[in-house]
Amino acid sequence: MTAFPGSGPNSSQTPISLAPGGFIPTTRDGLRHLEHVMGVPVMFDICGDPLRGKAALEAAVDWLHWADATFSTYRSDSEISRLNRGELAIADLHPDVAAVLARCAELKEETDGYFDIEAPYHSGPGSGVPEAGRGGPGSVEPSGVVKGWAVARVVRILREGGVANFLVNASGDVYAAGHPDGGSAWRVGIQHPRLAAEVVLTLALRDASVATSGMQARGEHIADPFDARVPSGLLAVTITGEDIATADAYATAAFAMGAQRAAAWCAGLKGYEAALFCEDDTVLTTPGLTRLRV
Amino acid sequence: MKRSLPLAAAALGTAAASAAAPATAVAVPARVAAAATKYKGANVSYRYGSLSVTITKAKNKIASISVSYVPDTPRSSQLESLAIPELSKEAMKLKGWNVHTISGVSATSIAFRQSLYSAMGHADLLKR
Repeated sequence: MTAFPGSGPNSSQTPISLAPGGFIPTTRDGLRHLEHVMGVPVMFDICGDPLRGKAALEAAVDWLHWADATFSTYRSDSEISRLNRGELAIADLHPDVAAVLARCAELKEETDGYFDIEAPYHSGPGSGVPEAGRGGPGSVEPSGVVKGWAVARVVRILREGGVANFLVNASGDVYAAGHPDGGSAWRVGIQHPRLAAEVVLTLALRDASVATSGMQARGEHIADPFDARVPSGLLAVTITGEDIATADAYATAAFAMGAQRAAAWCAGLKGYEAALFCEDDTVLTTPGLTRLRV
Repeated sequence: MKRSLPLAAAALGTAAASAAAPATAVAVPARVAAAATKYKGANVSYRYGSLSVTITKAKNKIASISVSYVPDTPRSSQLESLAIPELSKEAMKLKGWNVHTISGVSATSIAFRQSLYSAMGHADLLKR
């Protein structure tokens, strides 16, 4: 293994050769499918009978498009957009939309207020100033939980369709169901927070999710909801646990906390494990996450 | 080091079903190495500093890729006090790829991709 070049005193501009390896084939005769939905690529790897897999996959993809149309804040006719314009009352929402908003409120509690779907509309430098037509103060932006919640539903649809062993990867947030062909657990690599083409650690997962939050391609889109600044000390946060929407929201919240607060908060998590990738090129891990490493 | 298309495909985000490369370094034979030429991609700035990708071209393919990285975050000791007894702390390391899928965010990927395309352009390896 090579020490990360940024960590030594004279290390800048030292070229490193990338670690060797590649993706392990996930399935011998199953299905692989890429669907662009909710503004992100969603990758499916489905093991087992391809005919059964195809039927379940089609149901899952259809449902994802329904969820996109219902929740997207980029679509003026979505329920969320209509709610934000005051055209829909809470009581008129589809039960799924109401359930997601209720879960968002719980997540705000669980994360000491750091996962806050109203925060994108707070004003101030570095905050997400709402784009035209996407609502103002008081509007909600539940996209941070919708993607994970939608993947969790897709997992249920696939299982109900008779598929037990599969991967769903929605733009870097992963659910690993069962096991791959010829293996006992899925190997999920965590992307190095500074070097895109590198893996910084690998987890063996079975019926579990993993989500990573950090600075995104679209800019510094996670802000501290309390002062709208970009959080400090962290490059990225990875959370693993059963529910992918929870893991995703926890990762977002921990990243917004900054290193100090996130470390203390993650130490107290129940049922979820964390890796905090810090700006000093160290990684802090909870004991349960250490046990999942391979 | 033998590192050809599986890495490039992964870096470009296509996640194509490529055969898994062995997770061991393979020395490049001398006569291939002699024919290899290095091409440096553009220096691309991103959130955490800047990086540039250098590729080695041999037999009209990418034979290896390396990255130069310049952090712009001052290496401070502010995190040294971060001692939470329940958490373990270690230096980040590069692990070999031997995985089914990847969890991550994409800011770094963009800079990597831009510099890689630039290097491939210099090496005349981009499809026309």
